[in-house]
Amino acid sequence: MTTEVKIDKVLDVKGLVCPRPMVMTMNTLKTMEKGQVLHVLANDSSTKHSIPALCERSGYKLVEMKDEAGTISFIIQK
Amino acid sequence: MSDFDFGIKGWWDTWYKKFFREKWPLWIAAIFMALSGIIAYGVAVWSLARTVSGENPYDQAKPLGTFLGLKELGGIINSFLGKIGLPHYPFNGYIWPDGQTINYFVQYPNPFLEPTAGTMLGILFGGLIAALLAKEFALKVPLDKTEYGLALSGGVMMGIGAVFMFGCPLVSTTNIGAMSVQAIEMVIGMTIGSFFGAKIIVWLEKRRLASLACAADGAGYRPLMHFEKTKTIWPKMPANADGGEPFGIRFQPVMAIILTVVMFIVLARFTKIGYPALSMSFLAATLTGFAMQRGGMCFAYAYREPFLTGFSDMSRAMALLYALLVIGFLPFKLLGSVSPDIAYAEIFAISPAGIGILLGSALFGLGMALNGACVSDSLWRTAEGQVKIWVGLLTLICVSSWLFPMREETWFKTIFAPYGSKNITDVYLPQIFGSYPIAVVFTISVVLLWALLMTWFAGRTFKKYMEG
Repeated sequence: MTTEVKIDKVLDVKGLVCPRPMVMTMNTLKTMEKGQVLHVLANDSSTKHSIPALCERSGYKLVEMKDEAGTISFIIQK
Repeated sequence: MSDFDFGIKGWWDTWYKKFFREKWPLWIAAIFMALSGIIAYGVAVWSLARTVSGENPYDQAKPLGTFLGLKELGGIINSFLGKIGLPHYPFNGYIWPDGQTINYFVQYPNPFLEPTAGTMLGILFGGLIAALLAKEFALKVPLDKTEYGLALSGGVMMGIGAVFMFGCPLVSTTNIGAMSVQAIEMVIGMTIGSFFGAKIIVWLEKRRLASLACAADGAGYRPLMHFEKTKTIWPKMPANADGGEPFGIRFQPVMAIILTVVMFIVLARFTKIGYPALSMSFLAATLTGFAMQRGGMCFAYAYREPFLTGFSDMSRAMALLYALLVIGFLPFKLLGSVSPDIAYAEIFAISPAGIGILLGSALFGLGMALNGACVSDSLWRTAEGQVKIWVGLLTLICVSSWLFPMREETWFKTIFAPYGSKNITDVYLPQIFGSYPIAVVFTISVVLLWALLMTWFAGRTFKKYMEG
């Protein structure tokens, strides 16, 4: 991890394609408490658009977004 | 000197990142798609004029669409099935509904010379170039059985739906621009189908989440789920993220440039041997595929997300695309209406409208929501290396090609007769209203209303999510 944030849950949705990564991210965040942090790992390019849009609209904080070696990683604080 | 070098390199890096690596805003992608759609329409009108004058009857471009090429493929598949004694539709060629237009369309000496087959390849190629420039190509094989189940069931529904609705969502886009009643029916049907598709996905994911246990792994993390059910065949990734990019990723932009140069050489040759219109049409389709991959433009997303996740940004981008095409096609339509030689150009991309279109598009919408992509979405996402999408696309192509000759059956034609009529005819809004301005205002109003409705549904879905 490059960002010093305590991760509460990890959601690895590599291999799943739109819409499932987004639906699972939303459902997972729904089960978490305010302030908790979710780390999402995906490799479907649609998440680059959809997950930042979710954070912007819902008020969740997108702490970090990285696209390295084929894995797109998001750290989201609820 | 070094400052100068730094300036150029910095400028290039910034613009490369903006244009080729980062996702485009949806409205920019919609404008690019509209531009390529208008170019393709113009090229189709030009090729029609050359066909009518007898200058070049074989170089027939058509407006953007990714479906009709399947009739050629269907002919091949059905002939083959017949030879080996399997169920098939006898392939005897096709008769166009409007007897007067049959002279403009001939059976093609090679299925790839069918213009929409070229469009399919163009979108695939444009998506591939964009994915390579963005270093986003990776051959990914999901090992999760549900993904294949959704792809297969979605592919079958879309395959049947496409035959019944006379096309795919890209056809509906072109046909809305052309002011066809069929396209409006397609939008309504696909919206209804996507609504039910979204409900099925919500149900499936709830079941899946409920069955998963959250366990501590001893390292301070609480993994909710590790699928680890994907296999990246190529490129091979480094052992850790600090190991640098593997050659297969670093080399991708160079590969894109090589492929682009090869494409221009092939198209120049193709133009020289008598197919300039098909070459230009291919280029327009390539631009469409490129813009779709860069913006992530997806018809499935536009129709499904307002009911699934509560997002309507893509629906509004699609509405912008529809409206721009209505305006962009108008000069060619007016040209066709005053020039007898290309009179047919006025009703390019118009199809029959009847209950069959509505039923077919609802089934297509349901399949599209489950598969996660329609035909054109599948093409650019296939080019990204998503193997799951290949399964859905191939299923769709095989099913619809096999069923395509069914369109010649009498019962089939009956359900495409316009309401109140017994004969199958194309339904064109300017003919109904007797006025271009009224038809334009009506079509754009329908598009606007659809965008507003999708935005309202999205707001409702998202509110439920945040409150729930």
